[in-house]
Amino acid sequence: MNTLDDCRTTWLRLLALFCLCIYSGLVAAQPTARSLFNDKESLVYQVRVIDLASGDKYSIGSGFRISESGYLATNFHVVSSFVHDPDKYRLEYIAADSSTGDLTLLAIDVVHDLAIVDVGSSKGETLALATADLSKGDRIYSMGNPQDLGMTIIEGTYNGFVENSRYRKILFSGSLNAGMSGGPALNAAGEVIGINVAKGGEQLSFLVPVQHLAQLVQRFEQGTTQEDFAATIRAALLADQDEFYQALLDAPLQDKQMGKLLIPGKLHESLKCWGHTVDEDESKYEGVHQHCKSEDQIFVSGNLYVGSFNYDVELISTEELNRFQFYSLLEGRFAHPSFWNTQNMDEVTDYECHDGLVNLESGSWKVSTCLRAYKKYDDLYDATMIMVSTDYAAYAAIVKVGGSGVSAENATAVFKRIMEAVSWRR
Amino acid sequence: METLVIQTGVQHGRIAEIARSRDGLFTIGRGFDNDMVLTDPHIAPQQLKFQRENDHWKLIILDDTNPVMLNGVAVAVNSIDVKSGDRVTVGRVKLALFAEDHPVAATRKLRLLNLLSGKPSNPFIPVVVLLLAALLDYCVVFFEKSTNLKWEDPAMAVLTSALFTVVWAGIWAVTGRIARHQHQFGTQVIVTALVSIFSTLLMTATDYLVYPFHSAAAQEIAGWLVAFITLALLLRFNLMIATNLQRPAGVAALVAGLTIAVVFGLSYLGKNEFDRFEPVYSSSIKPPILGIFDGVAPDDYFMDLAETVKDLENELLQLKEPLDEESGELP
Repeated sequence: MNTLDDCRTTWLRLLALFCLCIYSGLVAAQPTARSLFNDKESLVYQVRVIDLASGDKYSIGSGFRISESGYLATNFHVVSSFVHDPDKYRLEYIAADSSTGDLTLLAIDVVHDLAIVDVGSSKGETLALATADLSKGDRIYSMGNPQDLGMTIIEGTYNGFVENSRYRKILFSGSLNAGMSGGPALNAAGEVIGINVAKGGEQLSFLVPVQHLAQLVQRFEQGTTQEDFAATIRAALLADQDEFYQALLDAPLQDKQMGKLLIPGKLHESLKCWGHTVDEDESKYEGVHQHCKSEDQIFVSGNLYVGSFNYDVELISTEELNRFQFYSLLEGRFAHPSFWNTQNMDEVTDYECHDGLVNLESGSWKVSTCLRAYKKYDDLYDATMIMVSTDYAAYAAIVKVGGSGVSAENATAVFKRIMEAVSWRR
Repeated sequence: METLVIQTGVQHGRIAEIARSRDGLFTIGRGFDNDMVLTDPHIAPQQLKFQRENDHWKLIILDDTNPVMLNGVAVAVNSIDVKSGDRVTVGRVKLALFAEDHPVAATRKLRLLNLLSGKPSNPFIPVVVLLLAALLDYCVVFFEKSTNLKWEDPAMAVLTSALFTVVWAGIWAVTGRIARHQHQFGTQVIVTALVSIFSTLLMTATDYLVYPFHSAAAQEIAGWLVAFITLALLLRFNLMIATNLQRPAGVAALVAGLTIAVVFGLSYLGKNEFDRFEPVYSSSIKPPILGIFDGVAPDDYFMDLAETVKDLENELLQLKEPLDEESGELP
């Protein structure tokens, strides 16, 4: 009963909100959304992954027609279960006129979360990909089928690209919901400016810029995409991490001062850094922490996300603890961070670690480096290094660096570079 | 064999009851006219008679309500020859028959004679040793491990460990009371506390000895080894004081080994599957003492790390090989 009542209340509220929207938007926006919806509805499809054994849908998303011959664009994550397990699933579409049929997967771009599928029937109209840039504040319209409730259109605001992001994404101030993934985001002229991909919070959603789709289409038309999707994913992940880690290796190490310590500052523009200080009275030590991490991850499968990077520095000192107590404190803080990118042993091996005391120019550091290999994507690893200075009785620094989905060479090179860049201020 | 010695109710430490034949005759039964009166309802009033004939003894069974066992075998006849060392079971009572000159085992050397001779002379000694153990425990926990300098934090753990020492000694005192009719509680407290002191020192020393290896495996092996040594040592002294076991050290090592194996097995089985997603690494960090911990050059470290990566690659290859063979067999 409660649920029903709740439902009713919610529906009433939604209805009220809806009326409010109609009222406030009656003058300008509504006709655009309405006409866009009427014009383009037939070009937006629901994309379904069907579980072969049960015959029912396993997951749903949206897609839109980008070629006369019947190609649809959607998100990679919408079709990923089929990509990884083609014996267990098949792809299906439902068109606006309720017609259904099988979809053939043609090309994928795992890094930008895009895929091209083929409906297999030609039709004159397509959604054009926009080439002109938008300005912040421009109204944009996103279409898709949220939670299998029916095709909808959402109006929101274009807010440029997400700042400091490893992967360029459009910030869409509108509310995407599960099932709308893969649907088009249109400008007022009805051209595709992005592809619905993710939700960040209240009225905070992300779109893949249409340029990436244009590039994928171009690659597909030139015949440079592969049919072996696992190999495609591996190659894309390898290339992507190469680009990121090369940037880390090439960038000048800006020295940042942190108490007695000189450390490389923000290593990459995509890293978000936070800081805090521990200096409460009851705490017997003082700690200054800098945590930097990349908040972008690549969806590879429901079991595996890659592309995270973390860089943490802690400076700890004490006036009250004796050296044994202080080193016990260090032992407690000398812990590898978790990537939380998989909970499936089919994806990764166990960690292998190499630990030791290393003599650097800045003194002796206890270093622990752990890697685990990806079982399905050769030469890719999760790698983490932690190091703690061991020369002083009352102060120490702990540095932690790690990344998921990185080659062993890149990980090792970055670890070594940071390790050697840390120094004590004379 | 002039006189037959019949012994019943054997316990470690002493023999409960012993009786000797007179004039070549000895009778056993529930009736009060017997040489040995046994109050077991499964024994007849006139049950057994031992009778000397020339230089040997005969067992004559006077009642066949229940079978009489000689060395574990039911006696089917009314009369049978017996010799020194034979065991007879009648009803639920076990008897042993000996000649007076039956050989006994060689005298064993008693170690820790001072500790064990008679009663603990001074009740203060166990208390003092126990307090010393608790104090050492506290010092190590507080001055080495405490990171918040709250003196009361380790106190509970130390008190619990002292209580455990007393309870453990108590269990062995009860065992001693049963097995040797001597509780030796004070002595058990002393040895248990001494082993606890030894263990605390050994654990701390091991931490530092193992540190230069920077190996999680070495850390873990050392931990189990210290547990084994502590338990074996403890059991060895507990057993020696409380029982008459021939080889207390051997038994202690065996029991300690089995216990550690079982605990290790359980901890292995009890490992959460999610634990596998966390790295196992050497987390021990010790302060520099006299500069004895020396490190390696970064290049050497990364060369060794490259070996670790190779190990991972080989592990992956091994994972894939069976798959390749399978697919190779398919048409």
